Amino acid sequence: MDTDYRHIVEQLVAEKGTEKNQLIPFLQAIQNQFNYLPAQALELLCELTEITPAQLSGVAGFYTQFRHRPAGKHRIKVCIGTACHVKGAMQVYDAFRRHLKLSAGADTDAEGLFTLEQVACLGCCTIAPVVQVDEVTYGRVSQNEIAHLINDFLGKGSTEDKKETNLVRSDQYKGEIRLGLGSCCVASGSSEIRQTVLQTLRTNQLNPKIKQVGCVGMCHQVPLLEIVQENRPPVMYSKVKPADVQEIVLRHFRPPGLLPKLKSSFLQNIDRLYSGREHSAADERHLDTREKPVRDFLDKQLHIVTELKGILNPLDIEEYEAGGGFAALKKCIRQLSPDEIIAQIKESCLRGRGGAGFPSWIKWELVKKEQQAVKYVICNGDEGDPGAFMDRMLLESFPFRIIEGLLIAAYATGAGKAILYIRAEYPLAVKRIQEAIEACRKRGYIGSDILKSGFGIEMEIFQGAGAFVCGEETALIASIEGERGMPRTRPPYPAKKGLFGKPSLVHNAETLANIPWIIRKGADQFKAIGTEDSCGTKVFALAGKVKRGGLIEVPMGITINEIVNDIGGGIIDDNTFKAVQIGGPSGGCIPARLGHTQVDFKHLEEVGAMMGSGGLVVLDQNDCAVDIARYFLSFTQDQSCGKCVFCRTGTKHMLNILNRICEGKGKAEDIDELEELARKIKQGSLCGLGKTAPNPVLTSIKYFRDEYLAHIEGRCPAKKCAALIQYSIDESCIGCTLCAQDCPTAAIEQRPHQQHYIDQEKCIKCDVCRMVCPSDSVRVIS
Amino acid sequence: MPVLTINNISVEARNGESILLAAERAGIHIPRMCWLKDFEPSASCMMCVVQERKTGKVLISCSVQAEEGMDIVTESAEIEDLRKTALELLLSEHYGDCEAPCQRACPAGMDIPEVNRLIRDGELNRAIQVVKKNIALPAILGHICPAPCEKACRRKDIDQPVSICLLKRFVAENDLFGRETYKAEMLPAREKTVAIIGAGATGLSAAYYLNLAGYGCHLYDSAGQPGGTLRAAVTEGTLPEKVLEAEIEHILSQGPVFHPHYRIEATEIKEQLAPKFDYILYAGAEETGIDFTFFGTDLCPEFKELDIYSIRNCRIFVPLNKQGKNKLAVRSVALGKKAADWLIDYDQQQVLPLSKKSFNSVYRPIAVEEQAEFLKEADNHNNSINPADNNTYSEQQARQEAARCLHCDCRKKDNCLLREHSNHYQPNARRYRLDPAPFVEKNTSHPLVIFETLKCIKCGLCLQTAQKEGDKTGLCFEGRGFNVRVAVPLQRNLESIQDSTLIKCARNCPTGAIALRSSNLERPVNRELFLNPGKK
Repeated sequence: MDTDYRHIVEQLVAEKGTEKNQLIPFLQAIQNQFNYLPAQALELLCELTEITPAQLSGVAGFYTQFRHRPAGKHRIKVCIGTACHVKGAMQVYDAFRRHLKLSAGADTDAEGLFTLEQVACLGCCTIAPVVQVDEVTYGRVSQNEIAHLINDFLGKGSTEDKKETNLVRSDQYKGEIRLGLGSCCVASGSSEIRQTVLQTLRTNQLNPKIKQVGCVGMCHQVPLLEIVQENRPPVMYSKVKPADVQEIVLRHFRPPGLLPKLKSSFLQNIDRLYSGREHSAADERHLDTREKPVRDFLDKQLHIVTELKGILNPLDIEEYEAGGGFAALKKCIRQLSPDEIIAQIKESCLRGRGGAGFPSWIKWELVKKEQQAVKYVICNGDEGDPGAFMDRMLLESFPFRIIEGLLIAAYATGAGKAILYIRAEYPLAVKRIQEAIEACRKRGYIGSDILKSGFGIEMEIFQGAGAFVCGEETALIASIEGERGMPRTRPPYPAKKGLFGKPSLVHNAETLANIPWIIRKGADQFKAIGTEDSCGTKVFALAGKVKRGGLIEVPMGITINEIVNDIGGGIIDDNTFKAVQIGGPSGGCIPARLGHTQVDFKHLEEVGAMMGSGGLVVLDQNDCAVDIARYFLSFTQDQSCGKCVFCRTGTKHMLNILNRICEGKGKAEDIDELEELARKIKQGSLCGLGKTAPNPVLTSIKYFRDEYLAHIEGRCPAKKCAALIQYSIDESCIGCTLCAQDCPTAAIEQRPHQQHYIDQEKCIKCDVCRMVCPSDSVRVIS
Repeated sequence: MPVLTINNISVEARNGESILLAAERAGIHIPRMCWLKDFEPSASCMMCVVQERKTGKVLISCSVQAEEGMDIVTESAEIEDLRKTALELLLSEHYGDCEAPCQRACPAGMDIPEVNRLIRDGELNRAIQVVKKNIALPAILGHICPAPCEKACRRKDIDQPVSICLLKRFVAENDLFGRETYKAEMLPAREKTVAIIGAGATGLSAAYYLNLAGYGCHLYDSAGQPGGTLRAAVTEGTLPEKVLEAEIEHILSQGPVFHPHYRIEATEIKEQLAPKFDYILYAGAEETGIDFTFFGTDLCPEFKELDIYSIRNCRIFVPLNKQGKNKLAVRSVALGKKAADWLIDYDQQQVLPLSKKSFNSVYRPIAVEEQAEFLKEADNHNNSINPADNNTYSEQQARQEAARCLHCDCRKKDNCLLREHSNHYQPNARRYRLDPAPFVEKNTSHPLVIFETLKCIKCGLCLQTAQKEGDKTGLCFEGRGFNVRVAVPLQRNLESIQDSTLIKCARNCPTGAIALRSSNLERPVNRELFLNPGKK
């Protein structure tokens, strides 16, 4: 066995070298090999490389990606991101634990088949709650369907054939079928739709081009399928099911020759007979972009970083060029001096989109000024905000745009090395960027002599290993250097002393995606969008209790109400709009009555929130303000690196107090204690994570103090906090026994045709009975 | 080079220098705990926070560079409050005793665990030195002390308490009747004299320490012999006369002069003693009934344990012996030492005593689950040992009994920065608490050091130390966030780290998380003995 380890580790060392900064890639490779980090392999790594035991153990224990004990054959990841949280992710998680019969502390079932994990955010917020089993993503998972989900997964087995090819050569394409292949679309079944489309085309000998397009942003309608034919307006179908595909396709494309046509209509009729459909599925799924809801969703938006969304094939470099891609890079290299470029960026007033909103040009200027042979530009794609997926979508759908932004930044600052730091949790983004870099290299955009200008750059990907704090630029740099992702004090700023001590420009992916547009269209045009202090647009992941969630790009200065009501279409089930949580764990909870607040750096800060990375979760009256505050704090508390005492220990005690309050054990003075501790954590923490961690708590106390008081009195007005609520069944019960059948703890006795009762001792408040009740007889009281 | 203002003083900083260092060179001390010269700043403990005057912004002075035009304030109410909270947070994850419960219970505050360690190791000469730091009459107390320390001993929760009092008696008598009785080093004579009224336990104790500090001492007593009420114990048969006489004789042999049959009354003190002495220390019994208001007004009305009166050039110190009816000789002995300390501080630094208790981290009663952890350093095969017939331990018995000590104390109680800062900022150690509280963990696997992770403030100075030493194993942080802890990498044991590295780590550790087992490093280390306490 030991020789096995030796062989594998030796091979890795031969591939990656012996340098210390290779540690994280080494660990990722070892984990890929063994699905955890075996101690023997780690000892060997120290023996064969410059990596020291102290460095190794420190790093392996820091990042959540790394496992220290063997995992089961399959890994179930339950997303506990914000959107999933408000839609009951913890109940889903608990249901998995029960189903897999996991004892306390264990994460793998007795058979070693499944390992259950929580994951901060899978970035599929619009189809929450989301669960990923190995490569398969399930959306809208409900806690009473766990067995079904697992069976479905086990049934999939090897039938998934991902290597199908189009039958028809490209010059014969007539028309296009566009399929969204962003993570949300994939999670909602778009790859199955694709299979069915291919099947249909094969059966009917049809030959339109099947085109994968990046995220359309209408994630609430996924999977989406769009048909584009010459001389006709494009037609879009939403929430398409595999069973609908044949009818949709045949509506637009006629099979050649008589026989296939007959065959198709024959099959179609048979299908209809069996499915018992009375009206056409195609009509039902047809989404007309001229209809009001769609118009509302799209009209208030403005696409700069998501320009040409739903049209571009993410990896088609020619198409990107045809849409104006790389024009900005060419303009920079051929016509503009670095100073002129920086002047443009300054003129545009572009501010960082990662959260703090620091003016971008200042960083550029600082890096450019440094007279050093080696300089770095780094794309920060370590999106860790549990309610946001903008970076993921941009990296997946617009890889060339980000690369172009990065190249321009490198050219302007004189950097010869570029690194894209992307979360390992975003495998699709990593793959797309990898392929995009290759494509750029082939085309001469990356390499030693770009566009024959003499300007050269090396570009590579670094996969983040799962630490929210690595979104902070100094922690990110430490991570690339192969260290624990602990922030460093600034100054010196990375622009002076960054990666490996060299001047480094670190920009968020969205910031970079703005650059080509600014150069191409001019700073004036960019500046004309948005407000005086916040120019341009901002991408948000709109999720939560809104009718139409998705990835939206809006001009700065738009109001919260416009986003929620016009773009989002209001609250689901026509519930009451309560608040938006904006800016994720660093942001705040803004109540509905402040819905007129403009979304820009200045106004958000005035109400106690912040732009953050762009998570925007809409809450309704069923969401508990205290629970949401606790949720975010438990996230930041878990993600604290542990370096400084205020963040490490202070957030823990704040969380303890919030836990007490949610359990009905709070005291009146707890609110003051929370506020005081929050104030001190903001003052005394080392980095942005700690300085902003108390924001969700502070804003919720500010705007929803009455809810805190209610909890202290023993009530949860939103009926969310398990310790403060009770389930009961009222007399409208029809005695169907469904609740009793599905109750995981046998708290309900089966009483056919009679009213059922819940044994409070046994009830674990998993909400299953309420979900399955056909007569809406389950009441939650507090 | 940037010029900035610190506490209204203009300071020129070197390029790239931190605010803390710039202040240091200008003679302004900023508190710190996790900062060491020539180390990378840890920026962890946040004791060094300062404030920018204009913006009110809080800066971490150990790692923020001094910049041109900064206007820094190093002390303000807000900063003080922030430091105090930082301490409260650190203490919320700090589990352990500073002083052991026995020492806290001892009115004289004797460092009992240290004495036990020295007895266990056969270092009796050093043991008596530690005893005499706090107790001037240990042999006497060894017979008559009701031993409140033993009632606090944690070992009693497991089986029986350590026989602390008998051990002390053994050490003291061994010294008193041995070949050469220990004489503490005397400071040079100070040309100042003290009249001590009352030659009982308090007066003798005060005389012992004042004499050591270089003061000329004269003891006045109404009786014909020194000893006061201690003599009653001889009469009652609990205290052998031989011990009493020998111990008093030992004190007097070092300098203090005894004046018998002295008439103690106010006018006598005022007219006869005051003109002759720089200080008068009243160490008589309460019932003597002198009305001290006769001497004027108390100079330190705030301080409830002592009155000071002034008659011309003489100061009269009247410690208030609030013992009530339940008189303990050990309290009197303790009071004598305290009075001597107050007097010395007053005389040498012109400071009036303050009722400021030194900070003590106090651990809860040990749970059944953690008994084994506490027994790691102890000989756990014996109940307390009964001495032979003459009621005195043999050396072997004493060593065996001393080995039963659990060493609840912190090895670094006297040089811990966390405690030092807590003394200053007086945090409420119980303000934030973890529920449930974790159990104590002691890593005793190394012969040189004790590693207690629950005393660690996670500053990483030991990691840096090991790295600087080029240690092949080193130390690392395991986990992150609240669960971060210092560990030996790759699950190796402490023995895989070099001794020299660990010794440096223990020195650099600001708390007692990594501490030397013994304060005396010159002593050859018997690994076998350390790893198997109590085994012979």
